[in-house]
Amino acid sequence: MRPTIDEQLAGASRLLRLAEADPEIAPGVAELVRNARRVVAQVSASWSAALPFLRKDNARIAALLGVDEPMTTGLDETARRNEELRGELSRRIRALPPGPERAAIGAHLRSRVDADPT
Amino acid sequence: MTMSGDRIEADEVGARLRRFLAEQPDARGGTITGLTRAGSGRSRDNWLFDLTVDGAVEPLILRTDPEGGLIDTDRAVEFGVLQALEKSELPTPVARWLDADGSALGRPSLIMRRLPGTCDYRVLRDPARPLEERIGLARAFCELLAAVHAVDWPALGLGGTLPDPGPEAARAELDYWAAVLRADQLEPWPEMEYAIAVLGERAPRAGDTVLVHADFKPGNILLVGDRVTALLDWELAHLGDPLEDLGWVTQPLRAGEHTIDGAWEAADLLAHYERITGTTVDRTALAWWVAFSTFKTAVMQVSGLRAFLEERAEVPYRPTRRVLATMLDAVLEGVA
Repeated sequence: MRPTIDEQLAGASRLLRLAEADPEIAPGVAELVRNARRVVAQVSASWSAALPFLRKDNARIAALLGVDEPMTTGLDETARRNEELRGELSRRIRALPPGPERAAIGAHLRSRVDADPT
Repeated sequence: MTMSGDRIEADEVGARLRRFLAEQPDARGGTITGLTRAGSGRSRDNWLFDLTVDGAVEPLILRTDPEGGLIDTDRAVEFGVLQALEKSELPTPVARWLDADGSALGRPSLIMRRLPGTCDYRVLRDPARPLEERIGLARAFCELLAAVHAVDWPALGLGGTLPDPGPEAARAELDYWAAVLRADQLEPWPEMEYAIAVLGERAPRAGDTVLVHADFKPGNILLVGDRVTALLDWELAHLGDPLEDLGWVTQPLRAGEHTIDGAWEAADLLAHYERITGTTVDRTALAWWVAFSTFKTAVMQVSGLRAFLEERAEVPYRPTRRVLATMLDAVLEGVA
């Protein structure tokens, strides 16, 4: 499948870099182009890792909550389930007193920050 | 936006300004010259201009609410604070006119007298300045912060503009920023819920109530050479605990702005503050305020993300890994 997703993102980055380097560019436009290039770079670096990350995160949160984790397939469905689980985790945090159960959630959240590719 | 787009915007701002100032008794008949957007970027919506009335030229700055950004504040409160501070010794700009609801200038706006100098976020790391000069600036900034806290706010009438949270200042600030999170979040943020839970259990009680700037940084200080000419951006100012500002300036996320590696660390800043104020900073309470500062930063990013996705901001804000990690480290290790 050509261009691949990565090739299309790389192409967009290249064009934005060219626009940014134009000596005639107005400062305000250069800032817009730079911001757009940052978004494209972020997506380029993370899109392919998002689905496996979310699947693993769903399994970990489900274990923390003590619920069964149904199988999800595509990115949209898995992301939607992740949002549901994170909502439930938020409610659990609000209800929990200090202690090992809440500390385990804190430890999960901290490791998730490092693992999140998005 | 193109250069001609910038020109059209300047023409629109100029037309609005002329109509607005024509309604002000002390500006009527004045002439506006030199209208330009402050800075080169689009992230701020400040405009510089001169107003000539009866031959007298007054340098001014129009400060307009951005359509979207990291914070949503009340221009009228900032105007009231600036007016009250004109009677203090603090170097603050004179507040001239207010369009509180934006009916005249398009968005809520205030007009202030322009002061000389430039802001530099990274001035303490500027290799063009000798180390001794940078340490001198760091001391001057610390002394300026102490002067903010020493303001006699009841005598200036600031109690009429800003509510006094008393000893519950920490709780009040946490509640305020938790409410901002709830209003602006587009998805669950258990990381921040965790921070709210831990911080809520450990909120310290304030000893003194002082004027808190709440966004104290070199980027809000005007300098001419190595002389401070103004402290700007009072939009977040409120009454509260002096440790709030100290937590803000000593938090790890701001180290690049407030410290000089090996020469002016957070401990030096605190020691200097204690020396000039004759107070002792409660390190346990300060750790709470440092943790709170990282939480507040994360909430600002959540608000910024919403503004970007709703097409009110042109900067792709989002809660970053660095901010979330620093926040969780602070509540897991520093407070929990």
